[in-house]
Formats: sequence, structure tokens, C-alpha cells
Amino acid sequence: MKRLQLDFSPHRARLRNVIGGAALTVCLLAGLALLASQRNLDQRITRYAVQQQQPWKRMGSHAKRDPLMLPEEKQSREAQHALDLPWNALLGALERVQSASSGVHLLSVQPNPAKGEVVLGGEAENFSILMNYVKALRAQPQFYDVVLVNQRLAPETTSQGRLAFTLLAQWKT
Amino acid sequence: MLRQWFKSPAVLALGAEGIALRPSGASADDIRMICGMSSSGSEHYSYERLLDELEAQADKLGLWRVRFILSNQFARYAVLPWQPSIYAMQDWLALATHQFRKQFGAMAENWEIRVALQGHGAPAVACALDRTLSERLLALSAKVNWSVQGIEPALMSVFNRHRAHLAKSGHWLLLAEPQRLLLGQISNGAWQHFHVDSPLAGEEPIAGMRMVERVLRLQGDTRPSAIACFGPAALLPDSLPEHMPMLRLPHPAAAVCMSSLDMLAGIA
Repeated sequence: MKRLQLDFSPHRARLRNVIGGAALTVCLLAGLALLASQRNLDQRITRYAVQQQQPWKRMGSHAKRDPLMLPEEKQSREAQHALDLPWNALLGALERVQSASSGVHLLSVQPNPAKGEVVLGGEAENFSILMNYVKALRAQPQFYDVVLVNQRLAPETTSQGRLAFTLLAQWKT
Repeated sequence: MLRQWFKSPAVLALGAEGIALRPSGASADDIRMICGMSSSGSEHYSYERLLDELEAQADKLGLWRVRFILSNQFARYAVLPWQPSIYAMQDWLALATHQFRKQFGAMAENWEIRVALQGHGAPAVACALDRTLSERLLALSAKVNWSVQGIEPALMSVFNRHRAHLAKSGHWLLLAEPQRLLLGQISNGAWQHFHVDSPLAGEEPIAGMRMVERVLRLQGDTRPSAIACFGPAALLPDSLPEHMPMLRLPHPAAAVCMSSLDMLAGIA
């Protein structure tokens, strides 16, 4: 059975009005929140649609925003930079000098693109041949400031009476 | 002030015997009569003197939130048959006004009426109070800054308190007050009829028994499983006719309550 509601005071009516008003307010606020949410969603959809039409902007903005992509990007930039160096010109110049200089054995080439240097290690039969080799290197347009860093007699186990040397050349990249 | 909100409001029960007060948040044992009226004389049914007494003492009571419970002496009840074409409460009120006018004549024009619907297809319960009574209670409350939480007839308070029990067991309800008996018939989960009797003082138990006997005869086969009784033991019959079981509704302060007003104030 239902409760008997035979109240003669305005209390219940007032309470009903207050509850009704509160419910109406809550509904209005919820409606406004939904409307704001809908507008926000529309804006996001529009933004995504624009980004779909201009993918380069999307890529750029993503790369800037995503911190996880930064190391990979740095590595790829370095790799690309390393690939962009004039390796063919360097090796061609070394081959040209080497073919013109007999009595010199080039044993190591250590390029350092960051500093723009190349360290050359090898052996020469004597000092005059070594100096001719240095002059030939200086004549190449790919190198400048070619200097003899050190020289010493090579150990007898590898070759008898040979002069081991290290050259440092500045590399025009 | 905040604590007051969580306390139950003070209850003022108004009846022919006087006014009983249960202070806010107090137990049923703390009920006290703040105004007692003589039970004889022509002014027995008048609420005017009662309200004058209440007005005189209102400032001293120190109340804030108040709920009024009015004796059945001041209320009239009717059951309105279900009307499938009536939807608005205003129309139900008009129907109730018409019903009371048919029953009581032109004096019903001065009554304030409330209708409680019991569900689709079930009869509605109508109650009428003197408009002056409710207006004076509200005016007095406004004057002494009481916040009125309700002005309820006794039937509403008693039934709502014991509703679950009454509805489940299919009992009828007998409310006994000095010189006023009200028998409500409940069947199919809804109020069907109200019977009122106004016996002489001291004759309430016998009158109650006769009223039940009369209604049972009128009803024929439709009999309740028992009759639930609410009121002081001195006003209730010791037994009911035709071996009808009688159930005294429990009361939290039955041991100390002496009058029907105490019981009404305690039940809220």
C-alpha cells in the first residue's frame, strides 16, 4: 500500500519545488556540460580532418610533441649526415696519391667527420718517400694542413727497416 | 543550528484533550501535555481555545521545526471511487469537495481538502480540515518563527507508521480517541470505506465493539483477517464480536502513554 499523503502544510509542496528545482538545475548543468563536450569533440574532429588533409603538418607536430621519437630521430639525422659526406672524393684522392707514390703502404684511414679530420697510418721505405707522400697529399684539393704527427722505425717482425708514420690531414667536407 | 537539521522535528499533537508536545529529537518517553482541556461542555470539539492556549505558550516552548498531528476530531474522511478520466489533482480535489458537500452540506465550503491517490484503479482517500484551523496553525508558526514540517491528520500518521504491517496482513484499522472512533476498511491493498462514531465519554469500548459488529454484518463475506487497534487501552474494546482477532498496534512508549494525544505525539 502507498503512504497516505494528506499533509495540509505547504512544507511538502515547498520540498517538492526545491527538489524539482534542484533536479532541473542538475539537468541544465548536465545539458551544458554535454553541449560543451560536443563542441570540443567537433573541434577535435575538425582538427583531425585538417591534419588528414595536410599530413606534413601532422608529422611535424607529432615529431615535436613525441619525446620517445627524439633519440631515433637524432640517430637518423646523424646517419643521414654521415651518408652525405664526400666519401668518394676522399677515397679517390687517397687512391690517386697512393698510385703515384711507390714505397708507401697505407695501413689505416680514420676519418672524423665531426672535426673534419682524417688520420692516416702507414709505413714508408724511407723518410724522403714519406715526405713526397705528404706533399702529394697536400696537393689534393680534398685536404689541407697535412702534417706528420709521428714517425718511428717499424718493428722488425712486420717489415725490416721501414718507417711507420701517422699523418693528420684536414678534410674539406 | 546544523545539528537541529538532523534531529526529527518537534511534534505537537492537537486533540480534544489538549496539546501534547514531543520536543525535537526527544524519545517518546519525553512527551508532555502543554495544555489540557476539559472534556465536557459545548466547547469540547472547538479548536479555537486550543489554538489560543498554544499561541499563549508558543514563545516559551523554544521550538524551531514543528510537525502538527491533528486528532480525528478535527478531520473528516471520505473514499472516492476511482475515476479513469480524471488525471489532475485539481479535478480530484473538486470531486472530493463535491463528495463532502453531499455528505456534510454547505459547511464543507469552509474546509480545506487533500486527496491521497492509492494507485491506478484504486479508490482515493480524501481528508478535510477546517480551513481556519490550518490557516491559524500556519499563521501562528509564522509569528513565532516555527518551520512547519507537516500538518497531518491522525489517520495519516498512524497508518504511515504501521503501513507495512497493515498492508501485508489485510487488517482493518480502528483508531480510538475520546468520544471519537474511526474504523478504516482495507481490502485489496487500498482503503475502501471509513466509518466514524462519536460515542459519549466512557462508552468508547462498547461503541467500538458495536461499530465493528455493524460493519462486519454490512460487509457480509468480505472480512478482514484481524482488526488493528490504536489508542489508549481504556478506549478500546476488550474483545471483538464474531471472534474477530484484535491486534493492538505497538507503541514505543506504551508504558507511559496515558492519553491518545500522547500516543499520537509518540508515534510520529
